[in-house]
Amino acid sequence: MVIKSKVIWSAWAPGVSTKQEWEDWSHNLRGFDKNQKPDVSFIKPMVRRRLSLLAKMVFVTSYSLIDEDQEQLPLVFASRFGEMEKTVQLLTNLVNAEGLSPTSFGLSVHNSLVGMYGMINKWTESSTAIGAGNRSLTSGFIEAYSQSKSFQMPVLYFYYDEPLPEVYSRYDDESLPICFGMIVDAKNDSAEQILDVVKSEPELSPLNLIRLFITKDA
Amino acid sequence: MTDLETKIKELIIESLDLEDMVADDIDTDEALFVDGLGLDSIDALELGLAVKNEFHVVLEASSEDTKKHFYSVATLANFIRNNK
Repeated sequence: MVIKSKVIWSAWAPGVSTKQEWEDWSHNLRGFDKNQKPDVSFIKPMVRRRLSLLAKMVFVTSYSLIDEDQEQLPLVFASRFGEMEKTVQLLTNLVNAEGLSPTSFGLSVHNSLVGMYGMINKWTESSTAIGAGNRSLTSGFIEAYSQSKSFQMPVLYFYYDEPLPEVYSRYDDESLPICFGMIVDAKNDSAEQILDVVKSEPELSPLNLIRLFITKDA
Repeated sequence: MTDLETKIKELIIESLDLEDMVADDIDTDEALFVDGLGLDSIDALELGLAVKNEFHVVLEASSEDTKKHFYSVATLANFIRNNK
């Protein structure tokens, strides 16, 4: 299946983040480079210090996806595992009868990142955080599409995940940190086309979704 | 600057992830919160936990006195000296 109409999207994975780099990746001309980190130097240091890898991925993806003067849109964030690094650290502290870090606790919950995004960008539109196992990407899209349809406006959608901490690695089949963002507008034909794809392939991976867009661009 | 004050500054930098700072960047008498260093209420909780773990002092979460103790590095050092 191919997405024929224009899609406004952006994605960050280590070593592959611009449209050209994704295009090269799809033709096997470029691989991932796990040493690369998202560069969020455009965010003030006092704010930046609280951003996890997942948060940094979302902010760099957002930076290339929308303009600074973008009007506020409803937010839908989806992630399969969320901030599992922080959760494991907190559980370890509990087991060792140590005090829990209030910052880590606050930032470990599933909707913390969408909340932080609203605070940093001073957006007050509605926000939703989705977690749905290996259907998180497609469930998040369906949520964003539904909100766009019912609010009659575009919705800003991000999906993000990273490999699980060592202790849970046997439950993991996510191989690399990745963030995918798009503006979902139910009025556009592309949204309908993506909806058909995610309905027929509910366990679609972000990399395979990106391939659909690139095939279209080529 | 005493050893205790330096230790407190290092604890602030480490526990609050102030990545680009060193102890000398923090003024001993300057306000830690809002004005001055510009820390916020989440930092207050985090720093309370770090001080409790490091110096084994007991802190009352909601008392007015606690607020005064956490005003600056100097007031915090005084509090720790008197309560160890």
